[in-house]
Amino acid sequence: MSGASTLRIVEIFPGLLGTYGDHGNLLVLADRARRRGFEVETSSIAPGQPIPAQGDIYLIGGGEDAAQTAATGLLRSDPVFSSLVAGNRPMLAVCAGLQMLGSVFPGLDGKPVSGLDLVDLRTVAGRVRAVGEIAARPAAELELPTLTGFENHQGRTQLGVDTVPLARVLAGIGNGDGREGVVSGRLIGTYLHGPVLVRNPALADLLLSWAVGPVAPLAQPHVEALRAERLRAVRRSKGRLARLARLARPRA
Amino acid sequence: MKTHNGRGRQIWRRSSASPSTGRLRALRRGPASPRHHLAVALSQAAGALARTAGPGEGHAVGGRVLLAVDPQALSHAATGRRVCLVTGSNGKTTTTRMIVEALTTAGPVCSNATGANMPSGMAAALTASTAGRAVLEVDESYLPAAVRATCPEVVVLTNLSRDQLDRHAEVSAIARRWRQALTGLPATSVVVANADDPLAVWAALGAPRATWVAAGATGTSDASICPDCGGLLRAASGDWSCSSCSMRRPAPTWQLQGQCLVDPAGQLHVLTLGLPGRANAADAALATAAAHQFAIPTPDALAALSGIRSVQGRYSVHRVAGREIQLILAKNPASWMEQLDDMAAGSDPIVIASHGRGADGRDLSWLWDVDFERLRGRPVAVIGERQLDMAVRLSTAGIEPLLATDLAAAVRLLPAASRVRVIASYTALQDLRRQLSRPDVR
Repeated sequence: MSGASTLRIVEIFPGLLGTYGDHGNLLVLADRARRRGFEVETSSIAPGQPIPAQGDIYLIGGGEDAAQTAATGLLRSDPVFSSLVAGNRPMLAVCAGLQMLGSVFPGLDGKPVSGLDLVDLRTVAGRVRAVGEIAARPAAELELPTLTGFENHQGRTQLGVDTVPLARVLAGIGNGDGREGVVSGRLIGTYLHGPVLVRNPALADLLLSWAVGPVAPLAQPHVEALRAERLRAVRRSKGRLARLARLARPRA
Repeated sequence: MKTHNGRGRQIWRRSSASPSTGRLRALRRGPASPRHHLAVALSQAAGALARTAGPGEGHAVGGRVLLAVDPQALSHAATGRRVCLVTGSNGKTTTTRMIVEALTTAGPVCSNATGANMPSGMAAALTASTAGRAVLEVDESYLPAAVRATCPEVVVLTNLSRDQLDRHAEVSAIARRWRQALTGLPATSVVVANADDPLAVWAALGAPRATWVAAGATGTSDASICPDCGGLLRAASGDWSCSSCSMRRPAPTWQLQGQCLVDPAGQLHVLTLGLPGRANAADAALATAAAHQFAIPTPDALAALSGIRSVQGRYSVHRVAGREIQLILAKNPASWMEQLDDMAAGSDPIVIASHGRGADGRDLSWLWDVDFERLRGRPVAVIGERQLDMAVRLSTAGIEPLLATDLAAAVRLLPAASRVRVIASYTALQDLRRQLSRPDVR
């Protein structure tokens, strides 16, 4: 926490990039830190304000095409933002936030827009919109349980050869090639809403531990029950889809 | 023919001698096809059957049959009628009902009052009535189809904010579809739009004519980007403008000021609504402006819509487990924020009923855009198929919710009070209404 006793969480442009409830990621991080006795200071950066250099965890959410393009322009001209990624500061980038960190993403009407080129990935428009519950198994070295979330995006994200996905898709679309999101140092990118840290408290704790060191376990029965319910729901819908696919297949 | 309904309010009934029926025939562009007549007959039979399943089912089922047999049924049924369409994220059912009440002061009106707001429901409502004027609630996504089919005289745009994003994908995409659709209106048609909602204004600017109503807005961030140029919008004390192009709030001809409405002549009218809160006053302002387009004098319109006490079960009062409860709808961030404003003063215990079905939106991420922290200190119980999403949201807000299996159990868990507020999502409200109509639950 850069020597100070207060955990500083910075939410970047929630008015532009917070369409799918991503503000919940900030609320959950702050809540989980406070329940462990940390002082927490949150700040929400509006367009036109500079990105503060001294945050401990940065959050970028999902947004619509025009908002994503506007936010990318603002971050490109910000003197601090790129140094945060280069400096390996803990960061969570969701959906549009993930896409804009790469070299290119589809903007309004699918036209390609140059991204910030801070992570080796690129995004193109998919044929159909990926909408629905998603489950994914995180990379083993992260030591996280199955991820659950809701995705709602048109983009298909291709990772560079040395770029590591966050998880393998069990049900849903994710990046579009069986992989989900990205991990690059202390940056986590994902297509999962829900919000993602609400449904996956272990991921929230991973971000917290990157900022403050190991954190004590926290029992939250409602959260565990919600996770179990959503994972059951995605299994049910996956079973239905598999049955439909079998029915649609021509008989031999 | 004028008669009275059970509540002593004057209403119009169908009558073969009614002058409007003759006018209607004269206005028809041509005789409807035999296929249309067959479709109408079949749909009415199916609708009658479906009504036995519960309130509000008739138009939805009958309409689906109608469109299956005659795909042009909405267009056929609308021919020769003066149509007003009402759409928006919030307030469309209430605004539709208010316009119906106002227009009924001058003759019969037909409407899809049960909220069946897709083409099937609209077509079924029209074929069930011969009234020459129709007020139709339209789902946001179906406005283009409804405009093409009904050639409306008036289109009301209440507001546009995030709602069911798993179905609509993007809020701004809806605004683009609206604008495109309204471009096709004839020069005699008029769009009545909320001047305080940048997305509604931008869409209305596609129409040949617009009337601007300063109806206010809920503070959501869905309009932070200029829909015209992608620049950043500035908003301050009731005004808004784009920082990089000429888009700005148009000068309104109707203005809502608290519970007063200023008409185009500058005359001030005091609202005496039977429905609480800012959002219902906004709906009343838009409805009165729409009724004005049908030559309904403002005092008559306001008097008529003041009689509304509940709309499709919303704000209705019931007894459950020996206690008085009031049903309230909150289905997206904007409508929740309005309800939190209305509730801020009270201390009544609260039951929140959450589903995540198609009409609610299957993604409940938006719960995290609502400032539930404002309910701290209030006893809250949660029910419904997605009660866990709500429970987690509330506990993060510093509220420990009580989980219950149904409404009666939830009410019993809460401390005694004069009234329990039951705030329900769209389909949860429908379910509760169905349960409450069965005597054994009370």
